[in-house]
Amino acid sequence: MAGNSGGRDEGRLRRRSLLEGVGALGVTGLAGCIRSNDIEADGPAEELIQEGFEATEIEPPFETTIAITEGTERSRFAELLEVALEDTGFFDVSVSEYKWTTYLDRLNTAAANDANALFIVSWTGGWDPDDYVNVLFHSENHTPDGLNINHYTSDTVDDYIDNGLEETDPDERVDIYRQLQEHLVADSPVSFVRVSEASHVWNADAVSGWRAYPLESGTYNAVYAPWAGVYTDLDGDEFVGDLGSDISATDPVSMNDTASSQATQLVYEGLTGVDFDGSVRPVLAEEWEQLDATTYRFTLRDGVQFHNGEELTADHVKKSFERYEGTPRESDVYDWYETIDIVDDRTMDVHCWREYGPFEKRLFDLPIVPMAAIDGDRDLESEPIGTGPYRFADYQPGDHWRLERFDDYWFGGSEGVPATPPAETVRLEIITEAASRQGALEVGDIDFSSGVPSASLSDLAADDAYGVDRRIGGGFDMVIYPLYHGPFTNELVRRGCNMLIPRRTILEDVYHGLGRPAYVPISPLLEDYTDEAFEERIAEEYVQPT
Amino acid sequence: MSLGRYVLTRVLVTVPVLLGVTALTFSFLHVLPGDPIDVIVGFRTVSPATEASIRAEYHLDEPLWKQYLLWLRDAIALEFGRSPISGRSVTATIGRRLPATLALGGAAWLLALAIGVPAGIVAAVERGEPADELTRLGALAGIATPNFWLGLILLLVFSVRLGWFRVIPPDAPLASLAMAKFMILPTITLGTASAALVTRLLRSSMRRELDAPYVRTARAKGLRERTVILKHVLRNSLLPVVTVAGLQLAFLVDGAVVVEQIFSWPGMGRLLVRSILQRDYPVIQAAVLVIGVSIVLANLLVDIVYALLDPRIRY
Amino acid sequence: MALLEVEDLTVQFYTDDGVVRAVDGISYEIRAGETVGLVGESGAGKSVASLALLRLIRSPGEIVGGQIRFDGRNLLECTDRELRDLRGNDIAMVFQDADAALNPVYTVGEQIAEAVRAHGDVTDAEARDRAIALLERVGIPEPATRYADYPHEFSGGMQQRVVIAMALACDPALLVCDEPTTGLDVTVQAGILELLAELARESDTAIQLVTHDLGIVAELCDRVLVQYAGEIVERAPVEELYYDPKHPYTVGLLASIPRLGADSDRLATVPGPTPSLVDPPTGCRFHPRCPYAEPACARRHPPLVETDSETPAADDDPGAHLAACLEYTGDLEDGLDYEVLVRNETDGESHERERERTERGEPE
Repeated sequence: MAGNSGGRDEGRLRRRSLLEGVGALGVTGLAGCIRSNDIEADGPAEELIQEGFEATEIEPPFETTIAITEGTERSRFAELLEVALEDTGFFDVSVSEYKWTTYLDRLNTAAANDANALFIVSWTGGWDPDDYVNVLFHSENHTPDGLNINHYTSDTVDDYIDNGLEETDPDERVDIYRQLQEHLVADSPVSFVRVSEASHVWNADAVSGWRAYPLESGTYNAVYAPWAGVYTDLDGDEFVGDLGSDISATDPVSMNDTASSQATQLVYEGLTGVDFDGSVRPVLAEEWEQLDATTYRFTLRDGVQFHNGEELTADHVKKSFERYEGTPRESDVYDWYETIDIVDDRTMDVHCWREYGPFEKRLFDLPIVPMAAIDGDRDLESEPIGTGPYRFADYQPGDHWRLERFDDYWFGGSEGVPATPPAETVRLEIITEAASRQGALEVGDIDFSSGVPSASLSDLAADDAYGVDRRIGGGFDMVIYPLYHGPFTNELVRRGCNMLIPRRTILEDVYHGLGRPAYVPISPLLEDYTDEAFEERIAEEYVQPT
Repeated sequence: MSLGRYVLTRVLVTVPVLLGVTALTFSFLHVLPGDPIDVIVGFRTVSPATEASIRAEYHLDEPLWKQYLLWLRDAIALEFGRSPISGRSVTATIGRRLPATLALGGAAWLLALAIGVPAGIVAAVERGEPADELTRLGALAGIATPNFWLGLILLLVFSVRLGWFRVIPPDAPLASLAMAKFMILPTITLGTASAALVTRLLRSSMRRELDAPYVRTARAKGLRERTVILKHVLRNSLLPVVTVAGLQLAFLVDGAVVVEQIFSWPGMGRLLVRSILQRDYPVIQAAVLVIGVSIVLANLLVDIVYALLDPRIRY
Repeated sequence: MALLEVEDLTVQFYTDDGVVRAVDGISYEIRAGETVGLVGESGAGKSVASLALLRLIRSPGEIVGGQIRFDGRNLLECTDRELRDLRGNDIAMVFQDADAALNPVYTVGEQIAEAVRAHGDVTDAEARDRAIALLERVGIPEPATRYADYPHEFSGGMQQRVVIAMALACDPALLVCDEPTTGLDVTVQAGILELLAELARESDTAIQLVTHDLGIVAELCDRVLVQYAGEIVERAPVEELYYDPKHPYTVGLLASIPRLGADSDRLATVPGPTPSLVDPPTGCRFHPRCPYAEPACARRHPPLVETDSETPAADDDPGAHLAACLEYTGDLEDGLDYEVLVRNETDGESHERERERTERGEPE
């Protein structure tokens, strides 16, 4: 299993695509009801804001701006937020739209330039709680080195993050991350607004038994993932899906966008896999045990062949990891990797330089590649080679990506999953326009799409000709406050604002009900860390006090 | 000066123009926010040594002018290197996209002329008649319709509702019947505005020419009205149309982003936009060069057609 | 029967200011081989009258009445096809401003050959040979070479010769020349006139020569028609018109011919403004400018009558001298008071003219 489906890094790299908005509209200036200089605080949110204004000795209304990328969704989002803030009378808000690259630059320099702006930003985390907090809130990750955009600094939070990362006991970790989440919501450096949802639609005639993988990059696991006990039945020999953008890079060490991960999902495999419910399953590793806090002993599956005919050995694993050194994705490995001691061809000891909580899940993201690639004889950019159930066939940039069944795949069949994937070939059509993705699905040019416009989902779900599966994912939308500026330096103001955000309206109006309102940083996808009861308690205590 | 020599001179003159255009592109890239290294590493933290080695690999550590000269040195040998983002050969990347763009742009351009020229003639000859009004309204609609909207409507009606066309390109070679059929809707989408423009331009230029004394001379000779219009008036009226048609040709080559998005067409427009977002310098530079060359060629073509159409223009 | 009979021809233009009667009921004839001048100031409707002969009047103009009979056939009733067969074949036109009259983007040879091909069943080679012969006939040196040249490669005079060659392509029975020498300098003018005179002498081609220049008329024409404000006001054999003009307007025209040494390009003018054709003067249209006008002139429209017999111009005697002035219907109380002096030197007063000079065409 490969790609970057699970990791914290996934979040980082996907920031780019998620920040991109859709379309562009002018800013609607809805005048707020500015009452007077001594504003009557109405309700708990406004009381908090008033208190904060008094503490910072700032005279309302405070002028500020909401900075967004161009796009109809974002501008509607900003509009709703603008109205909510202006209605208090404490703020005089405008909205500024930026091209994506300019926006990125503004984000990177916001704190350094003392930018008086609230930013609406999307973020995608993975299967580990660290993905949702480290790069956004750790004080070592201030922009421009990290993505802590408003330069939030809290020793408590730093400690939680560090401890969580280096804790390998699951219960301990849950505890740490719950405390961390509560602390973050109380301090509200940002407001969490909405968790995204994976929405997969397929033609019921052609495809049956599809399951939506929650994380976008793992979409095509559903085609055939025997290690997760999942496969899709197909009427015909070819499965045709879609990709929302071009594939940038296909070598794991340089791959950093969603489409590339999706495209190579069935080609590469790692030692472990994270299944559809978030459980870690053995893939190329048959079994493993933790020898001590920082050492794990792995036994490789027997008889695994690469697409180029090489036989998988422990040496492949060691060299595949060490190949990351000096590459764009080196931190995927060197954040924890010290060395591998090869015991025999199928057995090895992996040594970490520190205790590392996300270890097993991270392995999912590290494809094992053949010696031909390691030695530089084969270029994975032009021909990705792995151990997956499908091998690379051809790629027409901007047009389509095609895979064919790998006949020497290691899986021998089980009760739930056949030994041979039903689809002989898998073709992924690159379709950048959402309306065209839906159109292509409706006329049968493709069997499956993961990018149908959210407005159409309910219609498609009601139609017997289509199958729809939705799963809460790892992405969420948030509002970033300028912690360094004006009244936002005061946490009471931020908490007040956090309470005012019209989450339900945004969800329905902007996203047509796709997703869920969010109150805490870690996605409910990670059920252990954010279960319903926990989220409800936090929401009631900090966001919707009764 | 003979036409051949003229063409040669013009081609030579374009060399500094292309140098200027590519140099400007490089400087603009520098002004734009964003660092390619961010994209290459996917906004991850990498060790300073790694970053340095990546920068060195793609000459990103050199000052911009030096990067440009390095690029230029390779470009002269038509060697555009590898994209730091995808690691793939830039020449191959562009080589795949260019034919698709040329095919679609060329088809749209032909469509614009095939519709615009007859419609312009009819409108000019039938001034004030229903046919003129009809083409006027048609042209107005054609110019006023955003091609994003037109493309989506065509796609929804003819592909999705009626099922006459595929929504996405078929898995077939560019020069195949299936592909030609698929190209109908994108061609219409891309060519409509140009057709409208050509119609209106030709109409007004023909109206002017129709009043010219030589037209009366032609009629006085006893020529058929058809001959008068198509032989005498049309040729004189084509000059302004040729100018615009030349510019449109260039526009169609690089301005098709929206159409490429809607019809999932693997053209240069999408590649360029994506490369700019990713700060993929080698790809941007090569694309700009290709587009620059195409514009220069289009202008050259315009000049040659000028000279062929009007013997008074000699170089 | 005359070759061309124009009867009561009326042409209107519909303008923003109103309906303009550029040609208002004119009648005349041209016999085979005859050269007839049509003179008048600019704006008198001469060119319109000529274009009407080939039905070349375009919107917003329209022939609204009368007949044009060519060889007894009414052109106004011809089908488009019949008309096309006639144009350039039986009746050909030589336009003023040859530079504009020629299509700049085709070779002169092609433009002549095209006319040949339009009316004869000829091969391209035959048409080409004919075109070269025509170029030679109109005096273009090296015609075979010049065949492939474009109009802009010719001088103004040579362009005019090309236009004439084009008109002669099918040996027309009637050649309508509309100001053929306007805009050319005097020497060149003389050459063109010489060419036309030769044509008039040597072929049976009848010529209708439209001009504002009475000198040219004197040079070439057998008879003269004087047009004023859309109407014909005098008609006479050329000698009679010059020695014994009957209409005050003709007198004025003759008086205003430029003297030797004056700018020969200057348009002949009669004092006073040309009348508006949207709302022409009542009675005699010339009366506002006429030095002899009496109250009756503003009331009564004078018919075109034979000046000797004072009878209407019903007969078709080409030698008759007709004029449209109340003087000749006996309605003028004081009569006309002018005399014509024929001199050999250029010292005439306003009512005199120096006849010798104009007859020679005055080469410089």
